[in-house]
Amino acid sequence: MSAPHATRAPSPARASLSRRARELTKIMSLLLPCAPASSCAGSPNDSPPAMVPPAGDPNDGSSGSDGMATAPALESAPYEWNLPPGFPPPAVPEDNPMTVAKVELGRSLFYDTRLSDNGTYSCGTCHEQALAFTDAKARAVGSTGQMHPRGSMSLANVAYAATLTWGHPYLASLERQAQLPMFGDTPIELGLRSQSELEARLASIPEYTERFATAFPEEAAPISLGNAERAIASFERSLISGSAPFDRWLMTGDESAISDSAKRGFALFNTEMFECYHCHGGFAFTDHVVFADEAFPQVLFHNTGLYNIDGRGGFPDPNTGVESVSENPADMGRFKAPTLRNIAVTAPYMHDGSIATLSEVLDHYAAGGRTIADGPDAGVGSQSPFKSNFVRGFGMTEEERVDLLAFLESLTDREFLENPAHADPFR
Amino acid sequence: MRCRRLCSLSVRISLHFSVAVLACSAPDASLQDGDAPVGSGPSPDPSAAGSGGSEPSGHGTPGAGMSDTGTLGDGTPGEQTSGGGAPGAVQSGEAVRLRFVARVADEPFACGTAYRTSSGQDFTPVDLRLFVQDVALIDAAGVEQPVLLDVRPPWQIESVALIDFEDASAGCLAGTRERNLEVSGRVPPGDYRGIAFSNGVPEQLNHADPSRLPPPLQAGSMSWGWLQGYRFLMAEIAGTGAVGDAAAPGSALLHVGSTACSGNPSAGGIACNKQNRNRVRLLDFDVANDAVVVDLAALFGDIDLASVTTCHSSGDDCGPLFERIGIELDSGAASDGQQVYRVEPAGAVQP
Repeated sequence: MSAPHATRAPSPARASLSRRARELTKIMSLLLPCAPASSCAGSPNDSPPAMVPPAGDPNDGSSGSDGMATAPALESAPYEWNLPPGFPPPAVPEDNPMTVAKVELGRSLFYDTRLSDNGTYSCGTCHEQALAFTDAKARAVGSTGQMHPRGSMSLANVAYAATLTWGHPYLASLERQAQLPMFGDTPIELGLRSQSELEARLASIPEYTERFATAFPEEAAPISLGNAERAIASFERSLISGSAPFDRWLMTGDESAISDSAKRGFALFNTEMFECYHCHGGFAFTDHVVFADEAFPQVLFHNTGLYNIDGRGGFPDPNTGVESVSENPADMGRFKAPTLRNIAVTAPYMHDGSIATLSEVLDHYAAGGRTIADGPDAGVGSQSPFKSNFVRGFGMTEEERVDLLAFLESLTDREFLENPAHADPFR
Repeated sequence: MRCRRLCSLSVRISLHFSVAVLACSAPDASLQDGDAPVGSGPSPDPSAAGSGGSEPSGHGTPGAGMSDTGTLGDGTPGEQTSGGGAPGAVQSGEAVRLRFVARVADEPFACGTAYRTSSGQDFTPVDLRLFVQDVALIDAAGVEQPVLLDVRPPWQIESVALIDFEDASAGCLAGTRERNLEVSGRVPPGDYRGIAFSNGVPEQLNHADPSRLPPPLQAGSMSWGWLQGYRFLMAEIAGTGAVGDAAAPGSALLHVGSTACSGNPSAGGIACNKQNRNRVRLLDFDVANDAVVVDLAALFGDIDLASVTTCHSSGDDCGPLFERIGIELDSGAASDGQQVYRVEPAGAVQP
């Protein structure tokens, strides 16, 4: 990671920056509909939260090269979240409580190319751990070469996602979402044809016969699509990222964890002028979150003025955001705010990968919307009638740009990106 | 211990905004995701009789059942039938086999066969599958009597059946080898002169989790994950000409399903502003000797295969296709004048 602070002149104000930021945190805590402090970190039954995320998971990637072996003694163990400080307990469906066995089975299924019709793709093909479970492509490519209209989303902290994918108002179940890449044909992703074919395939793999039985011990026929989804969703929920240098600074007061530039960037991030925090605030750095016992869960989507192809706010088909599902014209171009955690490793940006770098993303917001001069998508995004009120544009000095980028880079969580508990067990 | 919440950084400005959670519109909402049988086959509960019919649809087809009262044999009774047939009467009614045949104009439908559009472009089928719900026979007085479908895995449950014409051969790449060309069930004895049905999955089942439903509602090509519903009808063809040939390399695709939906599948359900269920009524249908013909040429026959026509139940490409299948594109209501289905003597076309 670059260290722009190394070359920067000391600022007289910097000593007070982190203190100010934490005061800000305190003030904002009064405004958030969050559960009482006692239940805010870890589930009520958890031990006190530790800084170290599930890297300490007992299943530390020591499984065999077949990706199947796990330590039998741990199979029935209840899953320990080990949530980072500030992370509320995720909302977990009543019929799919987290267990070590399910998370581990889900990890194997997530990375198993036998879950694609032609044996070439797994979930992990488009969701690479080192890239915070994205794939560096502007738009994803399926197992038969068809291009997806949108990019692969980060799965960091997906347990807290209020809805899934880029802009779908009611696709909210991680379990059920798994059916899209499996069976979807617009475009073909994993290319599976039918539930019965998948179940027969899984049943023909002896290791899975055993592991489904262990993960779903009460069931007479544990191998099923529904249980495969439950296991994959459990693995996905375990992908908690909250151990970035930024977290070390904010939560433990380690002033050396991030640069002064990053601290200044965080302060800018929280100003009313830059307005970043309205949509990207909170522990997940997105407003599109839901967690257990939340008093007022909300599902928010925003149009950021990325396109305005017809002067009436139009986005290029088929990427019209929530509108493509709701058919409500007011939903044109509304997408969810993606998490900023690990954002430095998830380029290119936006739902269609149409912005290559974080610096250019800042330009987009500084301009209060993107202007495309010519071509089929030409238009002045800042004049879109559907644009969020928070995207008003701002002046930004080069120093401020550097500071904001340094802050964004301080959200890169190496422990998460390298955590063996999240890695491909077949490698 | 004081909890220092990073989550507290979030200021939820838009507290006034929330996505409307619409209550499930089905008459009996007891069958939500969590209630559906898990991994079990359908239980043939005859008390579900009458699930096929209900209030008149109000689209110029008196007696047309549009009840959407799907049942899974969970004992949920359907609404009263418009024809007055009591559920008990259906249970002891007579067995019927309703045959379906696919054609391309007058030719039999088969994957891999080359056909020609009205403008002389060659094409071959890619897919042709459809659900039928609210199946009824029409008596001499024009009244619809609901057909209680047999539970016939993997093709039928009491309230819906899958008709599958493709066999995964040749160009039908996304399909399955097995086909199903009939609907079987029971009706009260009567003098029937016509048949009625809708392409659809009953609303009560349409947004349930496919992985928890019996076939033919299990996850696969007909489950529409993106819309969290089902494809009521899927028809696709591909031009077979090489690029630049007079015969064009385009394609045409029609996927019908309910759209413009909102809600939450796990909290009260999803409601769709556009149901997109047609209502087909064919008179002069002799149950014993006739078949319902699905004519792919009547749907796609004049499509220009120089380009790609794609209808996912919204957008300009849908206009003519929806009209032919009997749906008003703007409202999603059933419309008169469908052109895709007709009646033909069964013997002439049995494959």
